Amino acid sequence: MAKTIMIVDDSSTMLMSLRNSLEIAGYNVLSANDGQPALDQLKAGAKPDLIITDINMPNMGGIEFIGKARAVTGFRFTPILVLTTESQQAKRDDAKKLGATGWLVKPVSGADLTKIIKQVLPGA
Amino acid sequence: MSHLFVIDDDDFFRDTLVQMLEREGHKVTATNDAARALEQLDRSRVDLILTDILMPGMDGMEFIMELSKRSYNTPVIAMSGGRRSLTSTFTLESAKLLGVKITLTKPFTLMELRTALEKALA
Amino acid sequence: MVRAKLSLWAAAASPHCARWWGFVCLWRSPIAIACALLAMVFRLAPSVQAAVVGSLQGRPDDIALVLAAVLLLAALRWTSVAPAPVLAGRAAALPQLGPIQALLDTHLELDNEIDKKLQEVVVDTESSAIAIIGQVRQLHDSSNTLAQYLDKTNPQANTLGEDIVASMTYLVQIGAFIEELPAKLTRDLNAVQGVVQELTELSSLVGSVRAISMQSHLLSINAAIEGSRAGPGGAAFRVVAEEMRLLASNSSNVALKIGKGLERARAVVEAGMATRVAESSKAQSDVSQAVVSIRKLQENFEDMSQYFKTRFAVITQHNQNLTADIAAVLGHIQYQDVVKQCIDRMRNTTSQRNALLEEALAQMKQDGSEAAQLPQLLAQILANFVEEEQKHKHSARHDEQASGELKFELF
Repeated sequence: MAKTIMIVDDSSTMLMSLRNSLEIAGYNVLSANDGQPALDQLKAGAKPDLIITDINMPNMGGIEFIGKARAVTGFRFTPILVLTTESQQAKRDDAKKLGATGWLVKPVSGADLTKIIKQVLPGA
Repeated sequence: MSHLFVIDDDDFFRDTLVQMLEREGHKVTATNDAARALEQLDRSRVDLILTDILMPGMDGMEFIMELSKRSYNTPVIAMSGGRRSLTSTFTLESAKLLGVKITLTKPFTLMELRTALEKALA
Repeated sequence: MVRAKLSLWAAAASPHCARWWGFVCLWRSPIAIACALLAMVFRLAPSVQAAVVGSLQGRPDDIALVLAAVLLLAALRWTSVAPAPVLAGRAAALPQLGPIQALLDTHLELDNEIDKKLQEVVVDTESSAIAIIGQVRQLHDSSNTLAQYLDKTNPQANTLGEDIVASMTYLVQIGAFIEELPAKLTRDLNAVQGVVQELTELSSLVGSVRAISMQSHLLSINAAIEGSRAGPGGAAFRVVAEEMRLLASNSSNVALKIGKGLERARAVVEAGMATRVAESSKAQSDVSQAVVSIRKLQENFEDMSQYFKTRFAVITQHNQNLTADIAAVLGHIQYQDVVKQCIDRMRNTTSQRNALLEEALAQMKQDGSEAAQLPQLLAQILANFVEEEQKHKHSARHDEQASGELKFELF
């Protein structure tokens, strides 16, 4: 059964690029352009096996989103990867504390992305 | 000293080549069947593979494609003397398009073999 | 009076000079005192200086007037310390704020135009990026369709190959059979020869049978004659002799018929054999030709099969590589987002700077306090910008060190 991945980013370019890369690799894709709509989808019953999120978003940023997503039932252990332009240690530690599973720096190639996903999603 | 693997259905040629390679100081495993070679390579890797192209059963081309499907990064030297209307140029060019970097046209000299080995093992 | 004039000019040239000159002269004459006082005058605005000097030049002997003017101006100076220079300064600078304000206004307008353009650029590159992504996806799917097609038709190709190999085996069997034919023909001929031999032997047997029946016939005639001599006792003997004669006669006829039949058969077979022998030598050469052709056909099939298999493998591999390479483009297009964010940060920073400049100028019109802090505040904006940019080192750079940077980390 194909796994589902949710991508959260305010940039249409990022959403399109990731969506296509992931679909080509055989995943189903859900997307949202901000933390709040993403959270709404999770609460409404969406069941992604993995979430990839940006940090800097206009309304609800990635750090806040991760904290809130973890609180939703069923997503305590879902792997969440952060994909952003920043590479500062402080921000990384913040994200890790809130429960992020990993940190990726933009831009990320399709090959690297699938490699990492295979590491965090067993049987993907 | 490197571990080499030779695949060729021509028994006489294969035996001669194995002797030449051993005299150059390499450890050599050999077989006349590409499918069996794959089984052996699944168990233990080698430093370099020398394979003929025109063979009955699984031919050299299928063998090379299987190697890349299994992501073996072992360097490969393709050998061919051609056969009737299939020229060695055709078979070796085709092997190159599958990703093989070094080829040998049969019959080849010891010098040519040495050059090829050097380039492949570099 | 020359000394006074000299000291005046010295003071005009440099107040510092005047002070020294004043101290030197103090011990000599009251004129020197006047000069020292005049030195203080020169701390006043240049225009006032000019006025004093001018008036002094006109009436060198009127020291009292000079002293009075000096004392008056000194008083003015010391009673209004702070505002005086500022008033003087402002009087001089006020006309200059006008051009600065105009300059700033135009600067802000220019920045506004540039900002609008930057916004447009971001939007344009986003549309282009999305269009490119769409195109790349199409290319990939096209390429992938071929890959899937090749994959699907590969088993068919294999089956076809196997069928050809099977057909070749039949062809080889036919070839073997044909090759056998001459030998078979020879064996048949030998068999036929054997038949002829048998027929010949049978014919000689028939001859024996006829000879035997002839003998029997003669014997029976003799027996009949002896029987008739023997009288009545010989009657039975005569009957038996008669029977034997009939039997012998019948046997002879039958043997004759068989003999004739055998003869006819032998003639037919021999006639047939003659033609066969003639045909078989021609057939021999035909057969060798056929066997060679079959061998060639077999080799052609093998070569053709190998050729197509090879081309198929190359096309499949090449297409796989192409498909993967096309998909890789998608990752690179993410640059557009990185650039957009960088531009946004720059626009934000220039907006902060412009706000600072506007406020600073407004403050300067009221009082001069803001002017002093301006460099410091601007420096802060710069420091913030540099610090923020440090956080955004990403791996899109093509220099050597970038490849060593951490691209991803699993916690």
